[in-house]
Amino acid sequence: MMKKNNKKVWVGAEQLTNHPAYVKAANNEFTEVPPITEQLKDDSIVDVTSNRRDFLKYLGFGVGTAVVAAGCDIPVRKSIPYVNKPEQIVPGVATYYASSFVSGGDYCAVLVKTREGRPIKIEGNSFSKVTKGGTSARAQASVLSLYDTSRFQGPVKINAGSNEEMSWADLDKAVMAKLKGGNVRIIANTVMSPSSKAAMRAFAERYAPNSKLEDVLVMYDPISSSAILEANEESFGQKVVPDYHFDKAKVIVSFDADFLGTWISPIEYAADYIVNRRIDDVKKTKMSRHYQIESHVSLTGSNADHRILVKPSAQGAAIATLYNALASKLGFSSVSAPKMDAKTTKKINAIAKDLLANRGTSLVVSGSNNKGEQILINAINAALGNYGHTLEFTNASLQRQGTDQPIQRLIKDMKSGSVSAVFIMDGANPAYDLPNSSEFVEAIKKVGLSVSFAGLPTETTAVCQYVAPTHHYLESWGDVEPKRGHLSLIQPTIQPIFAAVGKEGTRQAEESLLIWAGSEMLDTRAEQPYLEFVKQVWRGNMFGSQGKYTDFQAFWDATLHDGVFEMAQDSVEVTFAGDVNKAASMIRKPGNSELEVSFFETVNMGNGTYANNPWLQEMPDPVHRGVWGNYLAIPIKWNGEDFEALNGLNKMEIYSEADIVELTANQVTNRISAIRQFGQMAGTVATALGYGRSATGKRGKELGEQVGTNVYPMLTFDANGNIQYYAEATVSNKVATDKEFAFVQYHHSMGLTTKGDDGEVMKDTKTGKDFNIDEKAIMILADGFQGGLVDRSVLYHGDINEIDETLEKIKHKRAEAAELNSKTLYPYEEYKEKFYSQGQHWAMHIDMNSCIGCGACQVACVAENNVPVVGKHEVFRHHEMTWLRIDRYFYGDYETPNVAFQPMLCQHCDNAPCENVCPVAATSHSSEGLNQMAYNRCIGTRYCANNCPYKVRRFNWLDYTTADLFPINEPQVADEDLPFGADNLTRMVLNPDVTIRSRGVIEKCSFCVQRIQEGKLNAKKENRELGGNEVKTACQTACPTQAIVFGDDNQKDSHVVERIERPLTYRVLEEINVQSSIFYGARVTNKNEELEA
Amino acid sequence: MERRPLTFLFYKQPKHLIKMVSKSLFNKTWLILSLMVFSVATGFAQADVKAGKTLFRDNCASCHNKDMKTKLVGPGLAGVQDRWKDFPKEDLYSWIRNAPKMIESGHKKAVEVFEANNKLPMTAFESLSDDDISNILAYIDAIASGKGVGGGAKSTGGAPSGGVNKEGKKLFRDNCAACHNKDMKTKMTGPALGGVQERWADYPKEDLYAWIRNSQDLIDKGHPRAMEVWNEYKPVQMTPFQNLSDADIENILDYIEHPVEAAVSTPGEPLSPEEPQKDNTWLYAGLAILLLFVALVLSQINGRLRYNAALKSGDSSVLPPPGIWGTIWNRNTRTALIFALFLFGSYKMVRDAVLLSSQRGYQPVQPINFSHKIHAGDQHIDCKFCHDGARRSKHSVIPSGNTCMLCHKAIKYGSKDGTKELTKIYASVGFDPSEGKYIENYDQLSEEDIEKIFTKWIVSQAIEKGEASASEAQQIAEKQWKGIKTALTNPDNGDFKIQGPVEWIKIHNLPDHVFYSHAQHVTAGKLECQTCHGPIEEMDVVEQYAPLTMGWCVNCHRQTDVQFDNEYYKSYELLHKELKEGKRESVKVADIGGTECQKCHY
Repeated sequence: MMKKNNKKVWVGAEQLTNHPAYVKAANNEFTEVPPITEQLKDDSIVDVTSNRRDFLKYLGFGVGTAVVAAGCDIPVRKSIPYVNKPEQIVPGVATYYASSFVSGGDYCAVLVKTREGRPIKIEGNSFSKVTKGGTSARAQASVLSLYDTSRFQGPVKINAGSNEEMSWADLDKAVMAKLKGGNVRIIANTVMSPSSKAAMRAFAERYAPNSKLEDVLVMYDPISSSAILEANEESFGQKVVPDYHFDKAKVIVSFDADFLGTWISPIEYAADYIVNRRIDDVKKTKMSRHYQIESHVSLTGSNADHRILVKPSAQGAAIATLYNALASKLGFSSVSAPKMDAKTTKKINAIAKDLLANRGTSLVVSGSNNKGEQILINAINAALGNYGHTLEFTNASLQRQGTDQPIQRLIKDMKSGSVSAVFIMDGANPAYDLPNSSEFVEAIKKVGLSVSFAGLPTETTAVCQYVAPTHHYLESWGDVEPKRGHLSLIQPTIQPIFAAVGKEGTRQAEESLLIWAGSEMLDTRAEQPYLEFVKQVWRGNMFGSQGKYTDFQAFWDATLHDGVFEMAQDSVEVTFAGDVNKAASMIRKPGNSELEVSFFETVNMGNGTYANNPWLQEMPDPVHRGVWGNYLAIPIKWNGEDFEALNGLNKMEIYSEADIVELTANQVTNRISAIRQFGQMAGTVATALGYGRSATGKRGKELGEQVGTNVYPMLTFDANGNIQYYAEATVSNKVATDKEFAFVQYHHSMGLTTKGDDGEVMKDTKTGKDFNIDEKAIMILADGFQGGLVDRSVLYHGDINEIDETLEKIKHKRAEAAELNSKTLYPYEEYKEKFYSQGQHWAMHIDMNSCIGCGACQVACVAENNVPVVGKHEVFRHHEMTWLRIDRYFYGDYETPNVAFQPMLCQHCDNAPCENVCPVAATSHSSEGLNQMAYNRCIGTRYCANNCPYKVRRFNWLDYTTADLFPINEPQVADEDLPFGADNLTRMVLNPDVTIRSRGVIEKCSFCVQRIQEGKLNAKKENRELGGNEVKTACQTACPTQAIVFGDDNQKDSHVVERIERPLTYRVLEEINVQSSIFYGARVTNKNEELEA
Repeated sequence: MERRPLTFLFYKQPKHLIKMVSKSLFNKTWLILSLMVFSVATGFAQADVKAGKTLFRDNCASCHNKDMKTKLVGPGLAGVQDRWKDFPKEDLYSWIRNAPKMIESGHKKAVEVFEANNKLPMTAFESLSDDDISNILAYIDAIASGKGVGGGAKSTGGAPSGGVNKEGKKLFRDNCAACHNKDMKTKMTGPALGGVQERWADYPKEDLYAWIRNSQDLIDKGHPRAMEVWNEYKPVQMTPFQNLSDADIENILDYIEHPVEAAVSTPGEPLSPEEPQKDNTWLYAGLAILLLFVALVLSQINGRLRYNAALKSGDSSVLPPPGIWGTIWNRNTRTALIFALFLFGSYKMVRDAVLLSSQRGYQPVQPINFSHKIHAGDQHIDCKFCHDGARRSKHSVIPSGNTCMLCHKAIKYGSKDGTKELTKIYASVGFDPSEGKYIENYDQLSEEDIEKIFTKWIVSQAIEKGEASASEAQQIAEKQWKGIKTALTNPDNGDFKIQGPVEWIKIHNLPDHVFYSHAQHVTAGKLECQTCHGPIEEMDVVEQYAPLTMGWCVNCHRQTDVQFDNEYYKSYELLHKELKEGKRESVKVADIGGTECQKCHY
């Protein structure tokens, strides 16, 4: 059995088996769309058959239109100045405001870039000690949600399915008439805002006197960390998530916790995690080691050194086994635990050994929602002496505060009719994201008054009586306390949009609560009442804790400017006081069923709140690389002859066709498309939560509705009432075919061809011939530099323990490439001396050891460069437009492969092959090393894309940006009444410094040339030299781990030059002498030899 | 169809090789000959003046007025050679090539010009050759000598004959057009003015001036010509125009003589000069026809001789020559003609298509009759005082209402339009000029309330300034209010509110795919606004001066020096070295990548 395949890098099964379709796809830029299916035949575009007559007709029409268009008067354009120009705004110059992105427990300190008063881009706030200037894909995409055409434009009365718009005065009257005390509840996801809580407290005091806030505010998190909170309460008396220090840990063990992707505070953890993972100096580095114990491949798991496959139901047993392994070494008594198989036990013992060698500098975390397991995890960390070192409570995280039981109790109370009113905060969507959402829907009907503050229509607003829409966070005032003592402010960066254009408008939820409470704390006559309220809270609670400012206004202004504020905290010392034996009795019991399914959260869609955001929907999931939907990850194995997936499914994946199966769990059956996943444990499958929303927006404007499958109803509760994210399951055989399988793994794949382990070019099994005959011919002509085109340098990887071998390999390969490249006709050296060495020459370095694949850069690029959304059907046809894609490569063994993420964008080659094939010189090279694209010159021959070895050029097949004169060319996304992006509201997100591309032109990464030009101009204006690190690209600033560095490689002290000179640096496809400007740092793991054996 | 080389167009029967060679040789001579004739015929007519015109436009026109008389940034250039006649010709040339250097060297004339022009050094034009400069000077002379007003008269106005006196046109429009028909031929309230000078030719010119300034005075004095006109038109009196200067009147009179544009001249282009040389085109054309004829005759003779020779040698395969018509109108010429037409058509199409969207000369009527001439010209307000974005942003920025209020809080009565235009600004920002303060809760006021406030102001001003009686003032106010309403509302867009911004009409429009930054050109490049916007300080109504085509942009990038002393350019070591070593005289924008696509398109 061919199990190990350590050297080879692969992207998927078809590539490994040299599937003819793969080989063809790898050689072609524009892959043929899968064979025309029945459905496609109905598509009128495909059905068109042209003849000469048609051609003449179109020609005549074209000429006629051009004449008419040319003959018309040039339209009169207006230029409208301000009446009173705000001092800080200069039209044409961006202004940045510090604020905070918050959605439930998601948090990111941000700077909001505004142009002429409208937010267009999110940047990280480097003043924050929590997120450290990093962002996430969700934070990047949040600016688009501001301009969601589905947003409520004023209060609404829900009346038997139809919405009646009403005024705020009427709503206030109606709500207050029904609010007569009694049992009032507020439902919310985690609330991190001190001011919100103060407002809720004021509300609670008015309608439920003598009750505590906790009695009124019911917090729950759809993807819950309930067990952690409860376990910490029991172990330490602290009902919080501890402050994890991944930067201080030498050994990290994660039991199914996706801390780099989705778990609690991924931006913060990623930044910390990478501190000991990136290799700045290969000789001095002390890399941390990361074990991940899980069944499906999480983003975190794909970054781990070792993945140990354990069924979801056996997670508890694995934790207990680790505890026992440690206990036996430390002389503690062991706990009774279900037996693990010998192989896994051996691996866990090896981990235990590693942990013991790093006591105080190790960290064990678990994503489990089982209280017993979390207590055991606490016990393990306590036994290792990690508390006070890698875990602390002084600055404990407040990003998860919701527990699972209160909302269930509330549903019971509501059913019994004892609840008189419920208020549901924005973001909370219990009618969708509870396992028993149907019960909630029934129960809320028995409540006298139900008001939702949601900004967008959801499943929950549909069952409420009133909707009092709150502002988007970019229109709001507010504050956040993501960690004890770490505060940040939210400030509006635009006027509440709808009120400003004469609609009834939105109103901050807290303000509504305070108005309904008739609170004296709210000065309703103030211009911005809630701002005054927040200031009051800060004057009372935060102002006193600092000594720098004596005047509150000065303090407020400074904090607002910085966006963040730190408050000194009393240090919290803890000692473990949990009962491990009791805890061991609570852990989940390993199941005996043939198949288990686990449910996870994806980095883009979260718990489902982002469903109406097309940037996130179209961002490929970093791990399974599907877009616009959730898929069932099924295991794939090598049977000695071929790769075989569960139930023999998805044989047609290479043709963009997936099998739809029926997944049954917890007596719920759903249809779902399968996707083959290397690294998925045999006997398990996995799928994502947060999809299959049934109401995400206004009719005709909803985008994420019915996208994917809703699997929340498959979740179950354990004995403690905590939601469990796994279940026993059955998967049927194929029941249907998904003919729009939007899976980008095989799109634009490059470089990897068909050389086997033995160094021989693999033969086509049918013809017995080598693949890539053409290339071989070239190689013979090119005097035998054989390695050049077949064994391409795309990805280098190695292990820190054998780093010299890797360095040698890179050195050797680069020398070989240099030798090959010296035999060139290109006068590259001359250009270099004359042009590229003068002024600036831009370069980028991407450290694949730091890249965790989170996708923030990808969404940032979309936001910065007005990259269009194309929709699922277009992605299925290989027409996605993203300028930056993150390639996923596997290496190692088939069962638990290592994964490398490689951000791939235009490499700005100095000998660019795309440039010299353009018949109209639409793409050319600049003296600064930029591969330039002049869109209006492009006639769409696509020669450049064909000639691009990296496959990073994108063609506008349709008028995705609705820039065309003729609406017929505009594609529709999700049956919108207007194509996505055509609405004036949505277009407010566009970056005015970047051209909107129309149909028929090629586009690609420009190295954010608008930022380069801005940086240069700023330097000229200030009469100074431009610093080598001054210009930053959008992908660079978005990255939470600083994997991407951009700069001027003519300045030898610039950061990028320092990185380029590192020995792990290489260029992708260096041997083809394109002299690319992007350098990569090789992927390095830190394997435990004991586990390797 | 089988593939053949392009020569297929000219050859027909490849079998007869010898014949073909001779025939093709003949064809070639014939083609070359005719081409030569053609180029001779069309080539050299007044090459120097024409070239000078282009050179002037590209190099000089941004600073020197194209009428050669009035000052723009630099002085009027008419008679420049006279002014330099005390110095060797080379001095003038080197002044043009590098004025700063010459000033530095202390050249007497150079320093004098420098002092006379507010110490603004002239840009160096090192790239101009001697020929270029003499062409430019020829053009300057051509324009200057072609003026219509007599050389002795000290006149500030006057247009070259054949052109329209713009100043006169404006004065006529403002003062005379109410009563005199602008076609100058038909009577209106007043007589048709065509030939007025002739009719007054018997009297001294001063009499006509006096008549225009105050006709009643002249009638009272009993001037014969005055009485003649009075008798015909009485009791209608001509309005007195005391404020017109001699020059003004001269301009008006000049305009009256040439009310319509005589020559083909587009707005913004320098007026075409009266060519000083005799037009030789016809001579060349005649010569060409003659040569063609000779060529034809020769070919006939050649063919006939060849045929005879063939007949003599018994070669019957040679056909008789086709005759004159056959030689001219055969397959080859037809093909060549079609080919030439096709080439010409393509060239024409591309050329015209480029200019299709150019709005050069676009001069829309703005909601407020704002005059740059008054503000930038007469009052010398710096452009960047109001257009403050030009220094720091890509947009120059249309000034906001409160920028206007910086001055117009105090200056409430316009020199030209009184309350008519200024009140529009007050109504936009909500300033009550009667009270001298901003109106509270202006946004909530109804249209009637606003109308009351501003009509009150207009009425009071009209009476105060003695423009009208109380009842007339009310009428004026109503009329002006209508103007205010039109300027500040836009019913098409659902904007019925007086309050709020003025919607100006954008004149300079670049396509979306062009990134243009004012800050780059104004702050980093230190260009004058006039370089692209033309003599804005002379424009009452702004028009688009430059074509704003890509060719125009790129040309400027090729010709303009970079402000290379900016610290930013320090990293261009090679260029600095070349400058230092004298290998290079200047660094143009194009030398540092200023013509690369992504400098403007992204």
